[in-house]
Amino acid sequence: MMVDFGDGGDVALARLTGRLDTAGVGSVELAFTARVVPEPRPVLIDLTGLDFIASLGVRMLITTARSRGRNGRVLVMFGAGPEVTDILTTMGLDEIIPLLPDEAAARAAVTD
Amino acid sequence: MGGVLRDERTQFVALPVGGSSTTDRTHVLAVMNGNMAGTRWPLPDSGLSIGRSPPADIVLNDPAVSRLHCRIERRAGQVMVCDAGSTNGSFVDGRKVMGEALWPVGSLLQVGGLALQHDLASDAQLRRDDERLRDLYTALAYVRAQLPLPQAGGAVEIDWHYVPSTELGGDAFGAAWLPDGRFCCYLIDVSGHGAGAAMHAVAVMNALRPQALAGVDPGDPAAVLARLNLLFPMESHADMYFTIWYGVFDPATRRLVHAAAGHHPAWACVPGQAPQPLGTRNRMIGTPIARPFAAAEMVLPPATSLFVMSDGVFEIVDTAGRAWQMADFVALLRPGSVSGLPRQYHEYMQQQVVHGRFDDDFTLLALHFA
Repeated sequence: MMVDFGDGGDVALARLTGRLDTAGVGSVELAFTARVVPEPRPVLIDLTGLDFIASLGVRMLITTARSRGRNGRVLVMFGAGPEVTDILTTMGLDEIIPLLPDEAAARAAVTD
Repeated sequence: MGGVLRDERTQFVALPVGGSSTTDRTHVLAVMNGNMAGTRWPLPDSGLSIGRSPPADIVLNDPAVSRLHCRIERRAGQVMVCDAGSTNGSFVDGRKVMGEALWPVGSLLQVGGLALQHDLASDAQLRRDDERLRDLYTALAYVRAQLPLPQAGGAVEIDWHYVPSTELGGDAFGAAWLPDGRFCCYLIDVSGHGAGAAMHAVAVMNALRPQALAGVDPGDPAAVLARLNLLFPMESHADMYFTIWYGVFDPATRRLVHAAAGHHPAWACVPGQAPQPLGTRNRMIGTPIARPFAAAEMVLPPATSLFVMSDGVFEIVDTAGRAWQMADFVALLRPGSVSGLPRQYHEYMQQQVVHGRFDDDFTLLALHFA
């Protein structure tokens, strides 16, 4: 499991790659939250390389969104494959963090 | 380190205190597969034996294991595997042990279906393991004590199979007849693993007892979920949320009213028809919701079976490296594919999953409506 960060100009990018299961969360959570929570720009989470997300991964995203939301900071997700999309929509996470089909749509959502 | 821990296939008999140590670290046997995976046991100075029956120190209920299969011994600072003339052999890193063989640190010993790694651990690590295991087993005993008994015969038959993962997930379930003659059942899955998730599951189970749902009709799934969402916000429960499937069956009308929150559907198997999903889209329990919980209903024809499961049942990576989806498991629910018994589904899935090890609790509840 990997997380890496990109500078998208007026937005920040956080890319999650691999299986965000219990072990995966353990390996990326600190780096992810330390970078994403205080980021003042809107953050787009790139899920195109995410193969699987378990409940702890969902929890990591919820708590990150909540922490950012307290400061009025925006967080959106994009690019999830069908399996990950199915998990996220079943859980209802897309009602908490908007899930867009691709980066262009995500950028449009945060700049509208 | 003592006592007896067991899963369905493996029994570790109490070992003498005082493992062999290299400087400040102790030689340990780390279980790599099965439901005891992750468990580490110190290797006593006197060594230990592995076999299918006592007096072996590690007893494996596995037909591929001989009565006395092999011994693990310390010699001149090294660890040796001595095969006791077993029928199917002992293997170190895939090589058959001819008589005896060195078992280097980091290598795997295979005996029947069990894989053990020779490892080194500090006393502090072993103490932490011991405390963690004790906590997990206490939590597991508590969860098990709350589970309903299987019921054969009657208007609704109940069967289930629950196998907690090594780290103990947060699965729990219940089934009960309500005072007004309706039948209620549910399955919950708390986020995360460990004693904390299990304790949260028990707290939810207690809240779901009809007498605890003051002012809420336990036969109204949407109202029950709304009450749970008020009672268990993530922020005041260590950031844990849970998913739930909740259903209520009225034998008089044969209506099953159901609601799911963050949970995948249950599956109704009507004779002669393909499995039908029974689910509703509601957010998981523990977060503020923007709209009322939705419920749905289905009239169950006679002889309908209903399968309610946790995601640990189907979210596996199989031995071919393929990640299963729910549809793969649902295909097994078709007549003639596996069988109707939860235990047999578990056995089948255990054959599919890598090392026979599930990453999450396996909970499968089967209800049969006469």
